[in-house]
Amino acid sequence: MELGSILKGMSRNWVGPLLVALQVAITMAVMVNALFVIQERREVMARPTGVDEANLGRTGIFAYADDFDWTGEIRADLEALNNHPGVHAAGTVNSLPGTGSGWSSTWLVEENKPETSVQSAMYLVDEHGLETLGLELVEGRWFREDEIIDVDPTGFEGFFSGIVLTESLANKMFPDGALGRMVYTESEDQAPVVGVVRQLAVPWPSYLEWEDSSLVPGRLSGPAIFYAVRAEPGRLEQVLPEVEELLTGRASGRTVLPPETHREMVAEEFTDERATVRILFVIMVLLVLLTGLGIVGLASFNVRRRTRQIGTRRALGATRGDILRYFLAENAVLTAMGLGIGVVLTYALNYFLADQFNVARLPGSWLLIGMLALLALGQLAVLGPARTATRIPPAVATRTV
Amino acid sequence: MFAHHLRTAWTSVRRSPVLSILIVAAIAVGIGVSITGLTIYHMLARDPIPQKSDQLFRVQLDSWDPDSPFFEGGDEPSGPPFWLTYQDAMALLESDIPKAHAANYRSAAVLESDNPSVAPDVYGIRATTRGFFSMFEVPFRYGAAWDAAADQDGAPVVVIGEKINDELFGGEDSTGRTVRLGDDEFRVAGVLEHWSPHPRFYDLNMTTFGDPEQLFVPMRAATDREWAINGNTSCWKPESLVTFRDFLGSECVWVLFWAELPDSASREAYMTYLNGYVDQQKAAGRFPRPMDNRLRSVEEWLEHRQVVSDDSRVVVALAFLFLIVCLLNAVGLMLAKFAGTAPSAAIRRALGASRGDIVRQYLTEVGAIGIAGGLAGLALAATGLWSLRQGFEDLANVARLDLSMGFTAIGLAFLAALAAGLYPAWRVGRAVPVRFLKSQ
Repeated sequence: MELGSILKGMSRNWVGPLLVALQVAITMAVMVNALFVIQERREVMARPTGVDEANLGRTGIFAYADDFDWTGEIRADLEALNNHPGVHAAGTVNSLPGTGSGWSSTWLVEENKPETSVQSAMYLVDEHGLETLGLELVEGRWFREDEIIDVDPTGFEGFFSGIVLTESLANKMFPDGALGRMVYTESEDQAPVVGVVRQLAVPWPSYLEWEDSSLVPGRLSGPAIFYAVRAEPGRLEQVLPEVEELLTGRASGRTVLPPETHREMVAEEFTDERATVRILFVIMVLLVLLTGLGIVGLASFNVRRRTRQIGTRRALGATRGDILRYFLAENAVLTAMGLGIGVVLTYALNYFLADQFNVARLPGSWLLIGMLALLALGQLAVLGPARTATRIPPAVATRTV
Repeated sequence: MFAHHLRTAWTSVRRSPVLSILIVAAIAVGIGVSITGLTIYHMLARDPIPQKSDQLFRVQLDSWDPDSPFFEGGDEPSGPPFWLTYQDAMALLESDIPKAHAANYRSAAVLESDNPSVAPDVYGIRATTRGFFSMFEVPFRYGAAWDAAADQDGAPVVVIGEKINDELFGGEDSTGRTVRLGDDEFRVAGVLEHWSPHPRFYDLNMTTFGDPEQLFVPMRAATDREWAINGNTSCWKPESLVTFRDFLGSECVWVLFWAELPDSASREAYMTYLNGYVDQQKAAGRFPRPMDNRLRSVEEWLEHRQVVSDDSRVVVALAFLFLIVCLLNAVGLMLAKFAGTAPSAAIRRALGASRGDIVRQYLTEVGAIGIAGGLAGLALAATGLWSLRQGFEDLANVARLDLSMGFTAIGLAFLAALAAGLYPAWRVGRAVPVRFLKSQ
């Protein structure tokens, strides 16, 4: 019943409503797309790595003295670390999942057949690795101390006595059971699969096969090595500085690498994503506020302009509720017009982002949620001015200003 | 006349202070957000060595696996490997076609000093050849690059950065003195002035916007000591790698190679030379892939390695849409503001001012408001970037305003305000004087 008079009112003073409708439209396009990008980036960052993330830290040593007893000092370090109160377990590693740098290796499922090759991350771990990383062994066994060999990234002698695969990699390489099967390299080395762990992510966040990792019993042959340190639950922040002090005081001829938590390392690797999420979030909040204020501004202007008209309507029998409803309805019509343009803009913007950049296609449900949210925002914003309107006394109609 | 417009503008601003402040605020928020986004993009897309970025070339040879192309991130092949094998890098250093060239890699070692107050610590090291310094115009404070003989025999000499020189030698001329690197004495050949190209184009492997290394040694001095490669090493060929010698002679790629080629003649000559070299190697049984040698200029290299992230572009796009919303808001506010001043415009019209005068008057006011909004927006952007620097260590060299961004902010705000004010000003100019005069 009121739609006709609402539209008539708008067409008489169309600039203000048009501006607000356009604001609503662009706000919807930006809000929905920004939220979508935020959600996408969050999902990537939230992927589990398979290790005990909350309690895991990393330190290490860099030796420089010519006569540094590499093997002996590492053994003594590990003993001291594993006996330190608050440390659950500690062991040597070459890298940690999600932290940006690590090793990869090409394995062959069948000997001398390059076409059966599979790429995977390769972690060097020691006998403490299972406990230190907090992995879940689903099949087979972990490595023994006597299996750990010295490895240099630029070349070493011998090969590993066994290999542990993640479930994901095991299923890819050996769909009918991996335990006991041989894994080959292109350089004609081989090792049996001795165990399978539930999950362990690769070191590189942008790598597509997130869970294709393998573990081998090895230790870097110097001059630098990382120690993974897993603290008792909740004690990581306290333990890490103690560990640094412990290692620094224990031997000379080497420096201790500053300890970091696994979470810090992963967060640093995601600097771009986190900064994007933060900026987009700020843009979104400001945008919603701004559009809300725009709606408030237009409605207040209308209330002031229509003071006499409202008074007249009240004098002719319109209730306060009628006045309130009128303003809410007017806003709903205005917002709906904006959302009409908004849907097109939202899709156009998403199409552009998906086409040009690393953004996926927007599911339809996001559009619906965006529309409902903006409709609610509009009604909320107009509530204040509309209530002011309801307080206009009917007597205004009789006054000449 | 302009001064008069300005004075009238000031009177008008004072007459409606709340609306004026709101307009300034709307523009400021829009500028603050869009300049924050734009600054990050601008810093990522910056030319790190503008005076000669079109004369410096990253050298790529396709020495990779015959069975599968080289991949590095993403699901598309990346063309020839980003790095050279050690043997190829050493061979290319023999050419005298480039004005300068340098092989290099990043390593690390523990630095000890005679200064007891400085504890031994791990430092990143750039192992390179002397062409690095002249080619990249690295500024020296004391001394100079090592001589050609040091490149040949791997003499233990080092060029140190100003920061280390300050720490170890109190900023004095330390050339000729020694530092201990990995338990060996290295003689200081030169001390650098502050040098920090962003992005760190010569090696994008680690943090792209990190600071350069503080220690530079001859590549030979590093490989003789078998110093680790703290960069990317990629191998494809099944070959026995037991010793470091084996590794140096292998098909593993890990050496970064840059050449300075000042004109197209030298570029062509160098490309011919590269193709000739690869042909020769093919005859010797290496380079099994089709010939694919590349010379990428600094700009092309940054583009190829996608230094400007997609995310930063998305942020710019959305930030500018945000600016548009702010401007729509400003238009609404200006309409309200000018509606209030219509009667005084009417009086001026009646006293003989032309429509053009009125419109010019209002645009002057709007322009002034825009510049105020731009300044406030710049302050907001500076605050936003500051908070990003606090939150993200890696953005310390990225989230920074520079002069060009400052001017952009003011200019953008001015133009945006004019665009927003055009319609309101025109509407006031069009108003019929008589209507307002009558009701007075």
